[in-house]
Amino acid sequence: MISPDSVQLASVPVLDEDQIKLLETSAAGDRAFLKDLLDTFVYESQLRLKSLEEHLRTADKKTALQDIHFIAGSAASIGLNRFSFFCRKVEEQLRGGFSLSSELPGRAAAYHSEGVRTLRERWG
Amino acid sequence: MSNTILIADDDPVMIKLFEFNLGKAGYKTVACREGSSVLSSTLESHPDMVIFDLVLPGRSGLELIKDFRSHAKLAAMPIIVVTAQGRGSTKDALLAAGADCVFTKPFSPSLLLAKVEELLARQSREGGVL
Repeated sequence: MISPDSVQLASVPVLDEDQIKLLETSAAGDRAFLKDLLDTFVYESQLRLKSLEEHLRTADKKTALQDIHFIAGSAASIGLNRFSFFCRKVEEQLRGGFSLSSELPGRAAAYHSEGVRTLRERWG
Repeated sequence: MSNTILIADDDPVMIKLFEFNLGKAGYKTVACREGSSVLSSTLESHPDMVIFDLVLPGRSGLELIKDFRSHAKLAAMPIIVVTAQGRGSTKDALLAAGADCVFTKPFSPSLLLAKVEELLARQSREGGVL
């Protein structure tokens, strides 16, 4: 059973400052848009995290890979650096044929919450 | 008349980002989330350009490029592909298949807008698409 290294993850910043600044610049101070963007991410990513958990449970590797790839890309787009990094590691391990730790969905949810909470503190 | 751009991405966050940035620049947008509906949506909505993600449900970005380039009415359509896969080989394969430009996520909206403008200007000089 393999799981992304917590020590390595701790050194990865929670937010991707460059990406967040890009979003904030392109939003031109439109806080409502940024909040809406984050709400959309939260809704979709929670659906896909549930889907991932289910597909890992039923050993549907192909669909689990689609789930984790989607979540990692979406998280990177909104600047959730550590959560996206975690998901990319999971994706690599799934592609490598490793079986994943049963604790993985819980850890994914924790990194997701950490990122969303940090971004909400910034965007309201 | 403003140009219309079709966006295909399975991630609604990306769709909102595209709509916001392109809309602010004065473009109309049409969005779809399924790769399998991109070609039919294009034929229905007559966009001036398409932007799609490499990984889409139903039909991949690479397959879509080939669909467009071999279609009598859509062969000249400007195509931008966005991808989370930053490998040079992926980008090369997409450009070789006929993409006009490839952006690796995350990317700067201002760079995307500059490329959209450039491709539409080129399209306008060379004649329409549909």
